[in-house]
Amino acid sequence: MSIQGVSDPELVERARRGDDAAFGMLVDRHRSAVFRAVLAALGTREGADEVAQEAFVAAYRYLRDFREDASFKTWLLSIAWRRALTHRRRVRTFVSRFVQPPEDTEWQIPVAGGSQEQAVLDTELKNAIRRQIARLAPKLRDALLLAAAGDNSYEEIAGMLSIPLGTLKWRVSEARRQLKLKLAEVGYGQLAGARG
Amino acid sequence: MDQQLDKAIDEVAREMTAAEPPSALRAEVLARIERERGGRTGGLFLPRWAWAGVAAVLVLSVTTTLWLTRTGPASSQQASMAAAASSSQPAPAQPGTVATARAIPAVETMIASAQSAAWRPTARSATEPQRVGLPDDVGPAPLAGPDALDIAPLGPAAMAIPGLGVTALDAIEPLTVSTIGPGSPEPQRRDKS
Repeated sequence: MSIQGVSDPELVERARRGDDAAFGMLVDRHRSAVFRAVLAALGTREGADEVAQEAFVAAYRYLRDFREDASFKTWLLSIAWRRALTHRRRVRTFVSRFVQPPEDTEWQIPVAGGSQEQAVLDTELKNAIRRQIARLAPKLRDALLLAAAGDNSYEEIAGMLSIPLGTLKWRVSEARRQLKLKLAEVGYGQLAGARG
Repeated sequence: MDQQLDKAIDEVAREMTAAEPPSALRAEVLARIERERGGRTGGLFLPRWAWAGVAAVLVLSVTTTLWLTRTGPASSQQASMAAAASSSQPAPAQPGTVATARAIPAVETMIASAQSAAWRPTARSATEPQRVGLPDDVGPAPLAGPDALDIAPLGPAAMAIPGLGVTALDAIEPLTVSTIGPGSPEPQRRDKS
């Protein structure tokens, strides 16, 4: 029986009855969103892969506890996000005991495609932005990256972070403002408007 | 410049999360689920608190078994030896007295009862029946065997309770009370003037 056109609630119901193919379909549908959300929190592909797998397994384990109050995607993303934050805290605690990582290499930036627009951007500016994003407060950085990833709506991100929608929007805006301030300090552009 | 900066921020932020998940993610997730399920159904699945209870019961049973193995036969042997000693001796032996040849039948009884209680005999007790089997005219048997006779009786020691020492009361003289009636003299006043 084909499950390509089946909705998430239907797949969830089948997975609850032990249909592994249905759960596999759910994994396929949401793996990009889960992976990118976890990557936004962790910054490394390896860690994101591991945590994303853990999140899906945990979702399968607690599938009976899922209620239809929110969408399956939001519920799944909140599980993945909590696991990612736990992993991030654990890694930071461990790393801070032994080594002090340089901030510039904290994030493993994926190799971007060579579009014409990207070629126009100054590489130095992009590196400076990366550095400043990495130095943002985690709450601001998470909101900015999740919003910029484009996989999830603001409502879904707010549900995932368990914060009101207005708080999420404020955090994204505040992250941008602080970034522009920092970039202005190092000599990028006249940013009078960002100081308000 | 501000718009250009916004655009650059968006682009960099998108790049930081633009990785694609591994293609094997689904297979690995399902494999993990299968392993987890196999681990539960393959073995004895119990909650953690139940495992703690099982472990406690196991430790308790092993401890009890060891304790019974060590103390059980010895205590039964002691009991049988004490019973044999009390049945063969008319009066309890005082501690420190020298055992005589008369005690040998009691030794025989003790050894027999110990063997009947399936107690594994030691090297010493295994040699004792040979000595007991000697003819009567040989004389008194050597006194090496009957150590058990030195065991003090297990009964409670007599308690020395001192007397309460109640002194007898002195005899009280009977009181004579005269009746009071009309014409009786008035009682003498004891005014402290």
